Amino acid sequence: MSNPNHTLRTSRRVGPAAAGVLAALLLVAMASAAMASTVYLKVRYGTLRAAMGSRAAKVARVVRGTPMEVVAEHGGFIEVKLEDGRQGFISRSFVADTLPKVDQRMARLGRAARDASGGGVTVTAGARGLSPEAKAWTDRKPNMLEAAEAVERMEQRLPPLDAIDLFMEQGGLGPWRGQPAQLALTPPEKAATPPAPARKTP
Amino acid sequence: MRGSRPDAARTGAALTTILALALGAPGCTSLIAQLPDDQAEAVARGPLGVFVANKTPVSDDEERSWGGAVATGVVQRNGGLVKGGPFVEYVELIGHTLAMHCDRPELKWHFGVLRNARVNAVSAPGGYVFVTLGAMGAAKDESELAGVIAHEIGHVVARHAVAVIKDMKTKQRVVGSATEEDKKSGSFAALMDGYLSDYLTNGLPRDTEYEADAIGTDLLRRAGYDPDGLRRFLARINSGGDKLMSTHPASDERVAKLEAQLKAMGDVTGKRLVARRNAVAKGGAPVPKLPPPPDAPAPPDAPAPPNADKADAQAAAKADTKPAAKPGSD
Repeated sequence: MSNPNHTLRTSRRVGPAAAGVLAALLLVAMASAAMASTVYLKVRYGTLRAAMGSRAAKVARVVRGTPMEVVAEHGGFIEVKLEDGRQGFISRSFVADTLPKVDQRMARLGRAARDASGGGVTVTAGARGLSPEAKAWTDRKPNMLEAAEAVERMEQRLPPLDAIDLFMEQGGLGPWRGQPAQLALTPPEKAATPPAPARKTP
Repeated sequence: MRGSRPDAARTGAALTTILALALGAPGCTSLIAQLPDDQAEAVARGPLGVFVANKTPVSDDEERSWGGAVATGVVQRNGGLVKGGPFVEYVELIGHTLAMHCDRPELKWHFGVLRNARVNAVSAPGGYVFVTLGAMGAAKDESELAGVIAHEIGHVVARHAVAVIKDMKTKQRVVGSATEEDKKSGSFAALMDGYLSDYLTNGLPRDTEYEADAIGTDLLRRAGYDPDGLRRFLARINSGGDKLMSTHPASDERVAKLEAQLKAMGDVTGKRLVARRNAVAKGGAPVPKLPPPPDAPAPPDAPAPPNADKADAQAAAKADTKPAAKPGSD
């Protein structure tokens, strides 16, 4: 036999408890959403732009590990806001949800460049050169000198970010992977010729 | 008959193992560092030293140090590097596009073109990747060339060469192969000479080649290239009868494994980019210069393009049309 008063009392006790649980869950969800809304640059450096596209105006240069608050997601791009309030677009594939291991040397370079430029986050690629052990090893071999210089020259080369962005955009790669390649921007296609005569191995 | 020496050796090994387990690799390293030089060397060459060497991860600095030396050796034994121009710029742009999508995007990646007519590609620890002029000529579209580069990125991402060099270093420690000259400069020289000789003749272990193929094909997909690029390249070169990639295993097995991977990947499409490859092959720039958009002010901090000197780029492109200086010595 059920007692209606008892049921009522029970429901009155359960009601506030359930509401509390729901509120707690809501708070946890909100906290998770807030945590997930910060992303970090995972590549060495990147560019925030005023719009989606490699030809849009630059808003800021950011270095690996820079925290960015996600404002909105647009397919392969996300709109983010920096700590100093600047806002722009960047490829989704260049950011991670967790803080990556930061190259302290690059971070220092980035900070120095930012301080020098009065607030703009920027970075200069640093040449690294051979290690002392590798240098000692190549120095002992006269025929290695030219190769060591060639490797050091190679280490100092780095395509500008704009060029990489444009390369990907024109090819329909990276953040533009869902879009067709802009072949009109490349010279007309003709019969394939190898870049160098590939001689058969004897 | 059981001798006392094997028993003693077993006991020693057991005690060493217990000590090592109790202290861990860092503890053992500290312990060895406290010993006098002659005793430290003896311990380092023994089971405890091998344990420590195996358990201690290779630092980023050490990986880069090995990589710089291996890269120098690779360049020296493959006819040198193409100095600049559209081919180098093209390989760099493809390489950095792929590297941004790999699992080690933080590495300082460097991409170069070897003056070698053989169809081959090689890599060195720490982010050095090279393709030969022969491989560039053999790729029929950008996704095939990207596949070759992605395969080499796969080796670096999975630290295949690092594992081999580390193993060689451990064995070197046990065998004590260092000469007096090597002892003066550490065993670095012997290690690099040994690795280069073995790598440029035999390549990396076969299973690591398959793994690099798998990583490379997945990297093509991530970057938006046709994931079939590497398989198509290998299949065509294989059927052409060329002695493909002397530092790589036979293509038949690789193609079969890639076919299985692509089947499991499902219906994934991507870009092949035949036109861009052909344009660059004719000396065109991989990224044509475009007029700046009207609303975009010129950035004051824009870095100089890699080939700012047009005359130099043209000279390099002209030089690249000549036959490679030497058929590779690998």
